[in-house]
Parts: sequence; structure tokens; C-alpha cells
Amino acid sequence: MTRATRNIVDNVPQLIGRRTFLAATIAAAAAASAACGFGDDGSDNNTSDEDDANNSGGGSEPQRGGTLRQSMIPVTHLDPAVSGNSSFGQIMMIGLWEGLVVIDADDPSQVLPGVAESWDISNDGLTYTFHLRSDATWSNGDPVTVSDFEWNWKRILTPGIAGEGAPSFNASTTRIVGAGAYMNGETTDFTTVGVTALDDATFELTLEEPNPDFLIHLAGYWALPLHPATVEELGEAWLDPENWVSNGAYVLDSFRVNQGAVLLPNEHYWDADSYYLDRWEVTFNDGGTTADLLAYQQGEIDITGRIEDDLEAVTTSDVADELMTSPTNQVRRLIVMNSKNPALHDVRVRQALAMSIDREALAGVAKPAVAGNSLVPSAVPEYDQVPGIEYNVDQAQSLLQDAGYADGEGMPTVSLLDFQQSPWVEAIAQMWRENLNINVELDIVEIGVYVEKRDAVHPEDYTGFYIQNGAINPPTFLATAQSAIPGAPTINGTNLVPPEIGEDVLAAQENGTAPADVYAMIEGNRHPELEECVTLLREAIGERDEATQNDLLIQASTAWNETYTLIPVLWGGYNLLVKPRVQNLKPWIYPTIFTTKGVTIDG
Amino acid sequence: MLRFMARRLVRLTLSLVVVSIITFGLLQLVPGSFSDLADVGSTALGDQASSDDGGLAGRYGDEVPAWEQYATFMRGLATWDMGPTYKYPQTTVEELIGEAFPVSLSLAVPATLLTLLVAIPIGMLAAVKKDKLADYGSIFTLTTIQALPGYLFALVLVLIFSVGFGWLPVRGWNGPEYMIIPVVALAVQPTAMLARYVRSSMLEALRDEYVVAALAKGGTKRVVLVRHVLRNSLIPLVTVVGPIFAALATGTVFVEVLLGIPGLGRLFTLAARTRDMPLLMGTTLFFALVLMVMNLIVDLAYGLLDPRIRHQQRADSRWRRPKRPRMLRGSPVLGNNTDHDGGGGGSPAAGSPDAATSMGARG
Repeated sequence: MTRATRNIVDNVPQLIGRRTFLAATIAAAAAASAACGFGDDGSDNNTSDEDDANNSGGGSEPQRGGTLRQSMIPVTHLDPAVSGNSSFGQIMMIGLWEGLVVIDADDPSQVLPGVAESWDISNDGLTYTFHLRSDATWSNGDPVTVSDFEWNWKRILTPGIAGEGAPSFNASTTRIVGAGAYMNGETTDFTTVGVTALDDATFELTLEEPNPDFLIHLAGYWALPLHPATVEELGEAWLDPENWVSNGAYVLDSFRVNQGAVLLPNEHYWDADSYYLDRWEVTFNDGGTTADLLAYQQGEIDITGRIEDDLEAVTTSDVADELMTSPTNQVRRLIVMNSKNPALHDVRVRQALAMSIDREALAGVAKPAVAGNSLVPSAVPEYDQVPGIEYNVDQAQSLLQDAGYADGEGMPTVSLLDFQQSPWVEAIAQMWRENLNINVELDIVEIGVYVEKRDAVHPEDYTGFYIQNGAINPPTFLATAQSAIPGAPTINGTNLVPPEIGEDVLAAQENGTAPADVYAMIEGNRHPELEECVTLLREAIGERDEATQNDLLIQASTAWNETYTLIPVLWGGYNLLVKPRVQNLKPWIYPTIFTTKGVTIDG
Repeated sequence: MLRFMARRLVRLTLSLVVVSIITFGLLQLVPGSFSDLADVGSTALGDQASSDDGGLAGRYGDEVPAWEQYATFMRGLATWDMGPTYKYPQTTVEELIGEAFPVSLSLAVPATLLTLLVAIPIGMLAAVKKDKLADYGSIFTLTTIQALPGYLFALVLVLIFSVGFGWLPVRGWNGPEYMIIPVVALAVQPTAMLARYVRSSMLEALRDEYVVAALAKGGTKRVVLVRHVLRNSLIPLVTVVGPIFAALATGTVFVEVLLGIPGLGRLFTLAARTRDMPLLMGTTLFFALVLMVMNLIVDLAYGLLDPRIRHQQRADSRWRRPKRPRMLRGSPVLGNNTDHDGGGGGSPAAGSPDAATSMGARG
């Protein structure tokens, strides 16, 4: 016993008796456990079954009612202006709000009218005029107006709107006049931005350059409108379910960090008849595939989260045939790392490595992914215009010989860097060992180490590739080219220059040199085949004539493929387990993954 | 009392500052930053962030020197305004903790109660039936169980009751039925420990002369056991139960992550995984605070429960915890432990008196 304790007890010994103290402790404990509720779920569960009885008849009319229970990675926020990599939140967002246009689930390369009933595109492809529908309303009954959209555009372009996060608006893919400058704070005059309310029902967006993908981009989650009055009045509290106002098919009934959310139908939604669910329950799971699979097999959820790690556990389980995959617009690829070792700076060596991968065999251990021999996946129309990489061991061996590494002699150990185990990566290592007689090692590290190693310039004794999955969104050649320009966030370009320059670049970054200046250090210093490719890409993106542009884009994508700095190996889509009782669900290629429009629950 | 409290509070604050420096320092050494990792994505598919330049604006920037970030955070902490986190830009650290801690608490409180309800009878039984089958059997089982970590137990329970029988949900947090597996899993290890503790504590009490006296006066065995032996052997348990509770309230990390419970432990792992500095600092310091406050409460409660202690007084160094009062030294109740307490409140054992020696081994 401590003296200190005795002191206080001395001074107030008679205030609390022993029994009183014990009783109080127990009472406090009981109160604490009673107070720790489970959120406000469950209090209003009784709405869901009421309609079921009325819906049994009706011939071809799909069954109404039912609860969709879904698991997803925890959603951190529901603000369209903030970019998040837990893209699952986007599924919820496109249920809660509606933008001017929406993706067509039957043909995801097209858009359907949303709040905009129709639109006109000027002949030069620069001006989009949207005519808003008169029956679009917010969930509190207010009409959705042009000024709501104008207000939201101003909001998403406001510098610093995303706080600690990153803004979701991407000026370089959307190319709205003046948007980039306004966002960077170069001007505070919103009239310089190509966003104009013409009258109560007409809204105009002006682009800097024609952009055939513009409407698809506009159907993205970032363009969803918040209810201005609510946000202005409540500030951040607009996110609270009790204050919720939105214009989509659902309203938010509850949301709890790391736990889940409940969405209920919005009775004011103009197209409410096309949505059949009367409750949409979302559980957040960051326990990976195993946890999802168990809950799915136990019938606790109808749809799992995106299955990414340990796909094998699903494909070998008894529910393997319930796996749904979106069309393939993702490419799993090996990206070269910078090293003082010269081997992988030689394009012939990289080509030899690329050609000695048997992608068909690889697909066998990576189901449901398929062989991917080009950086342009099959979701892109005319993707086959870009010649794929052949599997040709003889040619690979002779390329290696030309580069001075006959029969793998003198080749350094090639590392494959990743932050998770995958059987197909091991298979690649084995193919290289067998086909080229070189040493290959897997370097599986924690994700933070992965990030640091990926961007470093490595010493002589470490060279290789890191594993990465990239998506082409939307699946067009233009988006392919935009994603290919080295300097994009995923590849900062230090891996594409000789090691001395790479080191200078890293040092400059360390010193806080502006990104534009860092980029200038890379520019012109890449390997020759890359410089050529970058020139082609720029030319193609800048071309105004659509037919010529298409040809140039194909040419540039081919050149990109043949730099072998990114070696494509597999194509895939989003994988989800979906219970058979969930009908008419069509996963698409965008990170929003699917819409619940038209989705019914059977039984 | 005021002097005592003031001294404890100063010590507590100092400990918190040390914890914050260590945490922040370690976070600086860990590879990868929040924005780097956000680029890769939390998952294999690694959706690229769609913006041109990520970068953390606002309160903490990428370009701001580390010490300045630390100062900003600590200023926020002092005013209980830690601001938004990197991962949850629209929620503040204190809001997140405020939402998550009650959840962790609602596991820790029942788990502690369950521990007490199960461990005391078992311990008593083992003591009364010393050297009989019931004693050997229960102690053997308890020792085995004590060696099993709680999360492993949680998995076994999930396999049996969720996957096998389908009685309980696999994971999640939607109602009382979701509490059963985590509470049981959490309670198992402390139960085993506490039962063994009760047993030895009772055995010592049973040897005491007052027991013989009570029996000699004609008390029934039952009355003597409950009124005299149990009561006296429970006093030192308070020092164990406090830290057990603190350990449960802050140590639910594995179980929460495994069973998808939105508590503080899950936030903590998330923060560490994504290098979310404000959230990690916030949760770590909160954990530390809970432990220290629990230890403080134990110290106070101990005095309340054992009247003998109230009347002991001794002048000693200001900062070092004083030695055990002579009267209690070698007392049968507390055993013959020597003073091992060097102050400092970081581990569950450190703040509790000697009786918690067995806890020290856990920490």
C-alpha cells in the first residue's frame, strides 16, 4: 500500500463507506455496460417486412421489398468532394445522391439521364448544356435546382475542401475551363470557371479541350451534389443521419465508423419505382476475404466486399460458383524499380523477362483473372489493335544473349517486390528461373516498406520489379494514354531514368522541390524508348481530330507496351460473391462497382 | 489528499508526455507515410487516388517538419481538440475515440464481471479441495487455458458456435448476441489467472488462526469460508482486478479486429497500419491514460477496502512509492513479497501494490 493512498484515505475516510463504495462500483459497471449501445440500429427495423405481403402478385413486375446485406471495406467518409481509396464508399454514394448523368448498368460505356433529363453537346465538343428534370427533388421535398449544382461545383473546386484528405476532382481528366487554376488558388473568381447556370433549368459546362470520355467522368461519385442549405446551415453535421438530405434513391438511416451503415429508400426520389429494395444494410469489414467468406457462407451477408487477398480461398470453396466478376479493365503488372545494377536498364533484358512468362499457365493459378499480354485490357474497345506480348522462350533467350547475359550468365538476382503473397507471383519467379536460368527471389514486405522500396534507387545488389494493379478508367484508349504518362501519381518516374538522375530526383523531392521542377529533371532524361513513347502519348492526347487521335492513341499504347517498364501479366475485374437471391445485379468496371437500380431480392 | 492527487497528476502527465514522444518517434522511423500508403490503397487492387496531387493540406502538411507536427498535435491534445485524422478527414480524433471507447468498454466490463463470477468459485473450490482431484483438475485446466491467447480462443468459439452450430454471428456488432463470443474469449485468460490467484490467497487465509478460532467457536464450515476466509482473501484481489479491467479495456485489439467490433483496438490497429499520426497518437495516449487512471483508482480503492491501511502513515521520498507498512510485511494475507515497485505508471503492474506480482509477469 502506498503512503500516498493512505494520505487521502486519512483525510476523507468517512465520506465513503466500504459497502457504499463497492455498491457504487458495481452500479457504475452495470450502467457502463448498459450505456454502450450498438448505435441506433434495430430501433426502426420494423419497417422492412410490411410491404412484402402486397407484392406476391403482379405478373412480370419484379418483386419489391427485401433487405440487401452487404459487406465492404470500412468507408471513412461520405463526402463526394473527398477522394478516398476505399472506393466502396462510392457504391453507397451513388445510391444516396444522383448527379446530372448516371452510368447505364446494361452498357457501362454509356450514360443515362440523371438529374439532367437531356443534354446538348456543341459541335466543337467543348460546351455541354444540361436540361434539368422538373421532378427531381431532395429527400426533404425541395426541388433540385441549377443553383444547387452551381453551388456544388464551387464547393468541390474550393482549395482545401478535402481537409487532410485529397480532393476527388481531377482537373486533368475532366478539363473544365479554369477549374485547375481555381482549385490551385490562382484565382478566386468563380466566373473564370467553365461552370454556368444559364437559367433555372439549364446548366452549362465548358471544356478546355474536347473530351470524349467527359460524360462518363461526370457520372463519377465526385460530381454528386450535396444539399446546399443543409451543408451551409449545419457544417460538418450534414453527415449525421438525423440531418440527412440527399437526392438519390436512398437516404442514410445510420452510419457508424468501422461498424456499418443502413440506407433506406428515399420516397421523394423521382425514379423510386426502379429501385426495389426497402433496406440496404452495409457492414464494414477490414478482416479481409476470410472474414467475409465465413459471414457469407453463414448467410449473414448477401454480397461480400471486393475479394482481393486470398482469392484462392473463395475459388476452392463450396460457393465458388457464386463469384461474380466485372469486365476486365484492370491489369496486374510488374513495374521496374531503379537500381545501380545496369541489367534492367537494358530494354532487351526487360523484353526477355516479359516474353518468358507463360500467361495462360499463370491465369490457371490466378482465377478468375485471365492472361493479360498487354497494358490495354479487354474492356477497352479495340484493345486487340495493340499487339500483345508473345510467350516465346527462344526469342527471350536470344534477347538475353544479345544483352550479354547468355543463358542467364552474369544476370543479377531479380526481386519481385510485393506486400502480399500471391501464387501467381511465385509462378512468375519459377518461369523465369526455368526459362532463363536466372535467380529470382520474392520480396514480400510490409506495405510501408513496399512503398519506400518501390520508389528508391537501389544499390548494385538489388534490382527487380514491384507488383501493382492498375485500372483503366474509363476503359478507353484516351484514359489508357492519360494513365501512361510517366509522372502520374502511381509512377513518379524515378524508376524510368538512369540511377544517377534517379538519385538527384529523390534528393530534390526530399528537399521539398516543387513537383513541376522535379518533373523537369525527369523530362528528357528517360531511357530513349521511353522518351519516344512519351512524345507519342502527348501527341495523341493533344490531337483534336477523333479518327486521327484514335490511330495515334493505338500507336502510343503499343509503344508504351514495348518499353517493358511495366510488364502486363494478368487482366482482371472486381470480384464479389453474390447470393443467388440477389437478382439483376450487374457489376461494372468503375470503382462504384454496381448500382442497386433494378436489383431485387428473391424470397 | 490534494497533495497526493497533485503529485499523481504531475507524474501521470509526465508519463503521458514520455509515451507521446516515444510513439511519435517510432512513427517517424516506420517506413511509409499515410499519403504514400494511400497511393497504394489499402488493398491489392490499389485504386489510384483520382486527384492530381494528394498531399496533406490543413493542420499537418507533408512539408512541415516533424517536431512542428508533434507540437501541433500536443497543443491540440492539451485543449482536447486533436482535429481530424488523415484517414477520417471529416471526423476528429476525440469523436472517434468517443464512439469507439464505449464499445471496448462494453466488452471489458462484462468480461471483468464474468471473470470474477467464474474465477472466485473455481478458486475457492480448488482451495477447499486442496490436493484432491477437483484441485488438480481445475488447476491443470486453468494453467493450460492461461497459456492460450484470447484471440485463439475467439477463433475456436467462432468455429464451434458460429460455423458449427450457427447459433451466433461470425463477426460484426449489431446487438447483444454479437457480444457473447468476444466477452467469453476476453474473459478466459484473466479467469484462469484470477482463479489461481484466489486459490493461493484462500489457502493462505485458511491457515490463519482466526479461521481455527472461528471453527472452534462452532461456526459452520460454510459460514467460516464465506464470511471470514473469502472476505479476507478478496482484499488483495482488488489490486489484481483493477489492472485486469484496465488490460481488458485497452487490450481488446486482437479480438476486436478478428471479430469486426468497432472499438478502440480496431481504431488503433487501423491507425498503425495506415500511419495515421493523429489517430495513432490519440489512441495510444488514451490507452496510456486509461491504464494510469485505473491504477490510480486501484490505489484509492485499496485504502477504502482495507481499513488497516488508512491508519498507516509514513514520510518518504516525494517521487518514489513508499515501502510497504511494516505491519503488513510478511502478513499472511499479502504473503512475503518484497517491495518491487519502482513507480511509473506505464504497465498494469507498476501502479499496483505488491499483491499484483502475478500481473507483472503478464505485462
